[in-house]
Amino acid sequence: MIYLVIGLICTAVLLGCLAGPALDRLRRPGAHPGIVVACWTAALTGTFIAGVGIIAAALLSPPAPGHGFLEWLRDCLPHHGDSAIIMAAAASLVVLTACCSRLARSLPRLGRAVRQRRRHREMLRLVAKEHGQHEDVLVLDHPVPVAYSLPARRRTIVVSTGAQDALTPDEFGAVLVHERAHLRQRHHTLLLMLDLAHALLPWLPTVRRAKQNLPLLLEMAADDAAARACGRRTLVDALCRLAATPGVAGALGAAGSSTGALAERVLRLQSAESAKPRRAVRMAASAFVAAAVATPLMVVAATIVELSDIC
Amino acid sequence: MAGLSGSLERSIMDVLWEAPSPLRVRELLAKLNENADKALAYNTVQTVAERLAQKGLLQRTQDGLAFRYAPTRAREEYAVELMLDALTESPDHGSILARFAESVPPEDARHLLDALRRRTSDGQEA
Repeated sequence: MIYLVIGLICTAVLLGCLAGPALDRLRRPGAHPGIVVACWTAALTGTFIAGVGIIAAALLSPPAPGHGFLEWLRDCLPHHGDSAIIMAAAASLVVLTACCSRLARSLPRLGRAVRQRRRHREMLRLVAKEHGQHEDVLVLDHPVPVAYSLPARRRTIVVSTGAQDALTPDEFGAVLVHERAHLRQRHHTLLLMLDLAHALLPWLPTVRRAKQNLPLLLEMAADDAAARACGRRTLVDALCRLAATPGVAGALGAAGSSTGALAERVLRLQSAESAKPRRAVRMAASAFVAAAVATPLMVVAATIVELSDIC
Repeated sequence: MAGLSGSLERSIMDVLWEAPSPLRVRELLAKLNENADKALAYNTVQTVAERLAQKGLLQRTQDGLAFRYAPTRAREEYAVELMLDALTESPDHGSILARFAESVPPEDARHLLDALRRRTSDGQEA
């Protein structure tokens, strides 16, 4: 039992504190963004499975009250010392309070994002126009050039008239492929989950670094799709046109160093080596993904089996 | 977002945004039926207008026994709010959309924000 809990803690530390810095090193122009995204996602998922497992074990292992509750349910008399029960109850209280306070901070944030997205869609429904040729595109009448996507049942890509005017038909096509790649690969969901993870555990190294790296990697993954379909040249032109003056995000008080991110995307596209990832890299990444998710799951499962055997 | 152009809510908002003054349901119905293939029923329009008022998109004023409906905000204000969503990252929630590029020249963004601020302050004085 104790070995399994130690195993869980080791997994959580490995994935939560060491995987992030290790994955951070993969951030080279040559690294395939899709593979790196998969690795980050697996590391985060594994961390949270292990975390939930540790909390469950802390609350349910004897002589904690959670276990007492299970025992009571199974109608077997408690046979643990009184003082141990009190200590475990205090520890459980601390764990539960910590969990609740973190959740109380982060879940409303997720709720606000979902509500704001609904509100945004509702406003679009009233104000935006349908694009004549592309049936998944809405046009927003505004001179500032902007293009974005958000998940909805239909018409999920929005471009402003300013963006339409600034882009040639080819570049416009590249923008659409880019946004469709975001939607097809469910990047919006991933970003929301990442934000939730960051609100829950902002100090965990893997989470912190994922928050810094993943958004850019997702853009690069979508860039790759657009570059494959429309050519690098066209995509770089589109990026440059829609980013007439760098440094916008700072002026708007937005988070992050987005100009750096944009420059990095353009440089990466211009560096022109887009070899398919080597077989060995793909294998290693798949192995990491499988291990990062499966290990905590198996240890948690073993712990649960062990727990149910104690009584 | 199904049936964007066919949405009655949208048509009602369009008519009221075009109208110079608040309209009664009867007048609204007449405008809507002007170039419609199938005439809408009075009750349908009244129900949807009432729903829009409940959502805060329309405001109604008593006029005799009936109500007059007018949009609470101009169409351009919605456009500006959408643009702000599209350009900026809010600190109190995660990202709701994925942009193609961070794309606005700072002076434009500032104009945008100023315009919005002016509008909202006008709204508070009124």
